[in-house]
Amino acid sequence: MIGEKPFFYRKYVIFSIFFIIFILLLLFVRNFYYQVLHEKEVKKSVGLEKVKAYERVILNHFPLSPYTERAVKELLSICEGFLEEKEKNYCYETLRSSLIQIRSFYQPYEEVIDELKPKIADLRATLKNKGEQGKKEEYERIFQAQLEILNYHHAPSCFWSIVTVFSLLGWITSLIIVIFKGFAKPLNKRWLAFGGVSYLFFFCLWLLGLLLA
Amino acid sequence: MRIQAELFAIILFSSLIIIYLFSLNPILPSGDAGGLITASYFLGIAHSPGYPLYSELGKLITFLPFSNIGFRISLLPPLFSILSLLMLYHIIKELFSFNEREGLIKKESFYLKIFPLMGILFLGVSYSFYFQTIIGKFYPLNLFLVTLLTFLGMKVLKEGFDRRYAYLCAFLLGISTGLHHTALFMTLPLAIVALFYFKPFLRALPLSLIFFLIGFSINLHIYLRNLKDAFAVVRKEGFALNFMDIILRKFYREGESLRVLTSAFSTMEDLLSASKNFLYMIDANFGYITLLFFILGAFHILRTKGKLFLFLFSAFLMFSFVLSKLTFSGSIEGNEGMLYIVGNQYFLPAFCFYVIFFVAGIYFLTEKIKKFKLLHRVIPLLFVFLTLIFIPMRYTQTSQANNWSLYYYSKDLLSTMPISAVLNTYGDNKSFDTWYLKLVGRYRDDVCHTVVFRYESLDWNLEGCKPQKLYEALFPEVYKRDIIALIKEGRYFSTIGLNEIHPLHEVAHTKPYVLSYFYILKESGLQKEKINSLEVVSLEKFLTPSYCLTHGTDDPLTFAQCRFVALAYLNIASSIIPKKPEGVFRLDTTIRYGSIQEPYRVNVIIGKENEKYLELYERIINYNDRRKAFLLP
Repeated sequence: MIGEKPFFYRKYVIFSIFFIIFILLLLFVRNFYYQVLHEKEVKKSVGLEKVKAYERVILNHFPLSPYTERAVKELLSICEGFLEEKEKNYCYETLRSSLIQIRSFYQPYEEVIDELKPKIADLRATLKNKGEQGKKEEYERIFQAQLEILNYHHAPSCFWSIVTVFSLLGWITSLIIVIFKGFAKPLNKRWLAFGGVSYLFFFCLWLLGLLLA
Repeated sequence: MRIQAELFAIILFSSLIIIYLFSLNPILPSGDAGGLITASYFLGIAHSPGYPLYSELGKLITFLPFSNIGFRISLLPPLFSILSLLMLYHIIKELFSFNEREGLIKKESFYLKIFPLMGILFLGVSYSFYFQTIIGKFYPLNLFLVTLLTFLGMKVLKEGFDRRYAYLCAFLLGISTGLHHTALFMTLPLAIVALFYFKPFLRALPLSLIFFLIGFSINLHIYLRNLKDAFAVVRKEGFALNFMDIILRKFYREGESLRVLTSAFSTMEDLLSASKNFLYMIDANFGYITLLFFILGAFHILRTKGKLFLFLFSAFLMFSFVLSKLTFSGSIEGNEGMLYIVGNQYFLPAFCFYVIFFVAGIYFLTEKIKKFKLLHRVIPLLFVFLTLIFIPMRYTQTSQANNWSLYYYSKDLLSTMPISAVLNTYGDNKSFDTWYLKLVGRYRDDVCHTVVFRYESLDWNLEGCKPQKLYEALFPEVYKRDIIALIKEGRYFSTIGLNEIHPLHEVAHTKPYVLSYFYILKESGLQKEKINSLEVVSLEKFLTPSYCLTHGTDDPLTFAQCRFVALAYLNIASSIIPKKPEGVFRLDTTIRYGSIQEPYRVNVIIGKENEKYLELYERIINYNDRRKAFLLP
């Protein structure tokens, strides 16, 4: 019967640790492989295709990757080199977007993104204003509006997101503890109380997280 | 033998993990995966029934500092595929441990080791399982819950009733409502197990119901995030989102959960076609020859373990023929939508139960030839090694590792938009993937992206124009729903080309504009100035056709998207008038969106200036021939 042995065996804990290490190692190898591969594509490309190849290098980012760093630097200089505004805008937008897409619990190269915002706003305003007979006030209005959009951070709060997802795992685990430890025969009131209180705690935290994230 | 078998198991699992990981889509898979990724990133509400469990687990994995957000969330399916295979391993082991208890086989015998491995290999390399593992969807997570419930049911049958199993099953069923509702099909097989222990089960029933409700409370995610106005796929401007409507899938009208359940059993007419379709899926995944072993396995389990047979077979029936009757009774001839959106996704649990019976069938066969010692040993190993052949086959045929097509389609669609344009999209592929680029990737956030869920609808989802306080200053017409003003200003672009059922058909016509259409009011003339300023040819450099020629997958949704890229080249070619015309290329066809057909006509005057675009069109069309999709009959 269950309960005579612990539900989670020690070997499963050890197995899980090895599993996580194995997965992380594989992810590292995979991303390293693809960064090298896409960097090779850069050498064969010209113009916007080069931008796209560097974009793929960044999108396969891994922490402390020298390839990502090189791709960001190269892209910045390539973007500067475009004479046509549409191409320059494409290049800056690509760099900004690819960096945003590699955001995790922190934003790598945040300073680069900040540096790009006024440049993109300027290009958007210039390109838009061309069709509006080039009035300076109009440029200024569009520039400010675009800068506001670029500065707006609409992802849920990182802190409250972490609280939410870990609280969910917390209340699910607490419930399983309540079921397996608390409802053993005879009823184990200590586990029942501990599991019940931790369930309530995590559940409330989860609700709070959903509202504040 | 024990160490050898365990080592083999570790090697096998590791190989499958490596294969799955290296087959994953690098960023943005097709179908509703884009919506699921976006909903996860925003802790939002995916398409009905909302999938809160997937959204939250998806959000958790976005904190991993590797790759991009799309790829990270796509890691969830392989993770749960591996866990499902691990559960299957334990289920088959448990199946043989019944024999062990009854003295039919020895503890730690060869069978206890090799047959579970055979099972995980058969399922792990089957087409649908592999496909769902690498495409960023929730079906493997759903399968994991089903296998977990199956394992618990078997435990009860083996060890006797324990109220904790009842509570845990109820809780897991509740949690499964935060995912695909098909996991609830396990209620019937579990109820059969409960009947064998009727009195103790009745005593455990009230608390089980409470645990079910606690599990169901995961759906509060939908209610609370809606209050927060978080990203919601099914939100329409001017309509309040109703919590129960999302859960009951009322959004899908004819596909609404309760309506599907009640209408499907009002008639038994299409049961035969549903069964045929399911058998077709069995053939595609395992081959008809395996049916023989399935029958042998069912016979063997029925003969030796009647209660277990009832439990497992009822679960198989629920996930195969009953589910088929509900969702898979239409024609599959040339219908990749039916095959890939229903057949290839919904039946993973049925395939899992099929494999259990199949493995039991091989065991039965090997038992029958026990006196031929060599054959007795070799046959199971032969089945294991034969299955290994499918690993490279699946990789070369279906892998998503180089499939950037969907990502670049959406990126190119946005890249070709003028600054501060309004882009309207229709259909999962186009809408969900553009949301990902625009909202998660913040690419071209100067564009206001609206989405319609029905071809003829003008009720927009405005998630792509949020927050209103910032976008309203630039797009006041959008918030006033003044589409005519937007068309007049020449800012309105849409992926819908207008047919006669569309309300705008009377007032506007369309001009192909690379990957979308530019709308022109009929009454205001042709707005020549605006059309000339579109410079379609100059936008060609923003397109990325290479991935529609190298994606290496047989995913029909990728094919469909790439065929739109091919049409973009026709649009470009038609906008060029060559100095020395060499001929004319005419295409008069229809673009199909489910039952809706949209006319597409183009006239290209061929010349040196545009022949490369026509060549690209042909190459993309040939490479993305829908007949290459493995499941198409």
